[in-house]
Amino acid sequence: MKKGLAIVLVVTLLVGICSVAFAAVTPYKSKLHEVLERGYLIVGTGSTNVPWHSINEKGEYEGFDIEMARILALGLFGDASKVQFVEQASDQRIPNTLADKVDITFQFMTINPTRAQQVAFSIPYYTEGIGLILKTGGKYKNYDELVAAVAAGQTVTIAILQNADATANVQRMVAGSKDDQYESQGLVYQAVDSGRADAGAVDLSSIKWLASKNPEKYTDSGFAFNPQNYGAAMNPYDQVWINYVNQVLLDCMTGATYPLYTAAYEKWFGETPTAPNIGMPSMFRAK
Amino acid sequence: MAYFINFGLIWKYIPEFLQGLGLGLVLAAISLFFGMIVGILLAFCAISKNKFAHRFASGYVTVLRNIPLLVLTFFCYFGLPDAGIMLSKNASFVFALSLYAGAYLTEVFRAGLKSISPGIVEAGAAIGLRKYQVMLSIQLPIMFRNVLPSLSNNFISLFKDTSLASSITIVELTYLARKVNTITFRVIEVWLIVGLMYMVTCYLIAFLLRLIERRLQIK
Amino acid sequence: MNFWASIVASQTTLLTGLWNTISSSLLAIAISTVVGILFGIILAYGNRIVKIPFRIYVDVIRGIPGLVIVFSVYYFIDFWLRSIGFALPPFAAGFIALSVNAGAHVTENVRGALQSIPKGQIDAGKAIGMRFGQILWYILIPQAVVRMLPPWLNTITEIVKGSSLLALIGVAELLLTTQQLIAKYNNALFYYAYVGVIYLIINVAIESVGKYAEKKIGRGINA
Repeated sequence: MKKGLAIVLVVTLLVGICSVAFAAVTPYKSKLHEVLERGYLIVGTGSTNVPWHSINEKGEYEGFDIEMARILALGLFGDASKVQFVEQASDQRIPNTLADKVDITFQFMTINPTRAQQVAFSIPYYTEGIGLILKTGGKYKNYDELVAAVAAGQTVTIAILQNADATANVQRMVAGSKDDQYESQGLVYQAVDSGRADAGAVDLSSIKWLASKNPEKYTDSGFAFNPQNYGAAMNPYDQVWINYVNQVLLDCMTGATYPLYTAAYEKWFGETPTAPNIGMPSMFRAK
Repeated sequence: MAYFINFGLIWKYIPEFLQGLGLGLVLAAISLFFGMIVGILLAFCAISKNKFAHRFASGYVTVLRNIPLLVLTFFCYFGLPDAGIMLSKNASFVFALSLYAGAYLTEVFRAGLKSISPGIVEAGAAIGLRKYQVMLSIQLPIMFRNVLPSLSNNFISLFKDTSLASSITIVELTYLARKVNTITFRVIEVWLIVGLMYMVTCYLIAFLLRLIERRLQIK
Repeated sequence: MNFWASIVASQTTLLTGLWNTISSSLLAIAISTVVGILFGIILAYGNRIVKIPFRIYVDVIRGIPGLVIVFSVYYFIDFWLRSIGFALPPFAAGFIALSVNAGAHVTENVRGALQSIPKGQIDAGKAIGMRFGQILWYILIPQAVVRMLPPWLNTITEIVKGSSLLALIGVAELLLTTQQLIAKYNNALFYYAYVGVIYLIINVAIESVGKYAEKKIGRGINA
């Protein structure tokens, strides 16, 4: 009986070793090779969120997410135009990525621990925050004036998109102010335009974009909080692909392809990001 | 993803919901009041022989009845400040709803005035009453009794219309429903309760107003 | 950019909005009319127990604001669909909600129109050996159509106006596209006035077509 068991064990072990060896010789094919062979990149994104992803008058996709996708295509093929964009709603970002309908999703996706259990995120390419937008020539010129007005006993109204943390967030921004919660982002801006609200609490990226496009209309209050990292989402079972994407993104933010990232950043946020350090890489420096 | 109905999380918001409901009733009542003033004035214009007055009344009714209240609400709230008219949040909604109600009430009152037999008006003139005296002491009281059921229906419609005030962040029942949804995510329960609250209130108002109507009827 | 120039520059957007308003309204008009006629016949001539669910539908809907119906339908159906793996586009939720709301009103109109026809006519039809279906088709419906036309036209106007509520669940109809343009060009005063005039034109057009139809049908019956 014991002898029989030993034989079974040995055979199992042998089969196991053989299959591992066999797998090792089969060439491992990553998404990276699949994309290179195909000759173009398939990117999931949206079309309704300026400055991230929208469709311009010529019917082309544009925005900061789109620029990131083009930087990746440039890295892959030496040609930034080799991208096919696939329109997806926000709630399709994870399903489409997991089902390999898209190679990667660039769609202002906030990295959080729950999502990271489902998809693999790239390193962040932007850190979003909530800021306060003001009307140029309006009652208040900057964040300090808003705070001072509340301290002086005036009613300061802040328009914000309706959500569970809206009241709490407004209080964290300007303690003692009043929050008006609207059903859409567009109405938040209308409240600021019409003077119904003294400030609007919206994404900092939108404020930067609007204030750089229409300085006569909007002013950035200079205040922001609530950091959230945006990263690209990929199928988690392909480390070669994930590594490649991370290398390209890291390089464009800190290395030789840095001008590409800077150009995109200037175009969509109206500011020049600080240049990377020469010498010890920025991210490893204490300060 | 299974969804289990759970009203437990909602109960504590009921007092807040009732406050929102109360605000809706107040907004509707004030709008009915101003709407009635508009309606009475325009109804007299509509039945008058003056061509201009007549046209003005029918033009007003055509325009206001064919524009969505939501557009009118946004116009008064976001548009009028551009013209230098900055009414408070509640006032701008009451203004919009009164203008809107005015159109429907003009029709109601016009029908009410027309149903008064000309003999009664002539009788008033015959006993030496002036035109405005005939209006105030004969036409108006008779008309009001005639149109009472329509007024009740209009009040109920206006009350339902106050749900649109949520779009300009007035804290009435629909606004609170959406707010509680974003906090609890009990979407189904919240809309069931809020729908029920609206419905019960509407039928309660209808019941009470019918009682009043019956009191005022001539036996 | 001045107001008219911005209107011209954004006419594609506005036309898309107009199309969404018209198509959601047309769908709602079609569905609510079919539903209303069926339910109206049941309420007018159905057996007492059969009537109960239809009566509840009509009375419940008439006691709830249109906006609450729009939100409820959107979230109820969406939740149910999500549990089986679909997402409901706001447009579909929108015209379904409009249909549910208007269906109750059409039902009442049809019931009222049918019940206003003297009962004696049904008895007369039976007496000459007609089946109920025949009585309905040849005697009752032609008369009811004339009577229900004015309130039906009213319901259509209400549907067109009600379609503006869909802006609040994210359907890019006239109102929402207007708001998108306001975000771009400012000038809320003119834009809201402009969109108001467009609704006015649509509804006045419906009204005049209706009046014309009323005359034609009325004449046909009298002749």
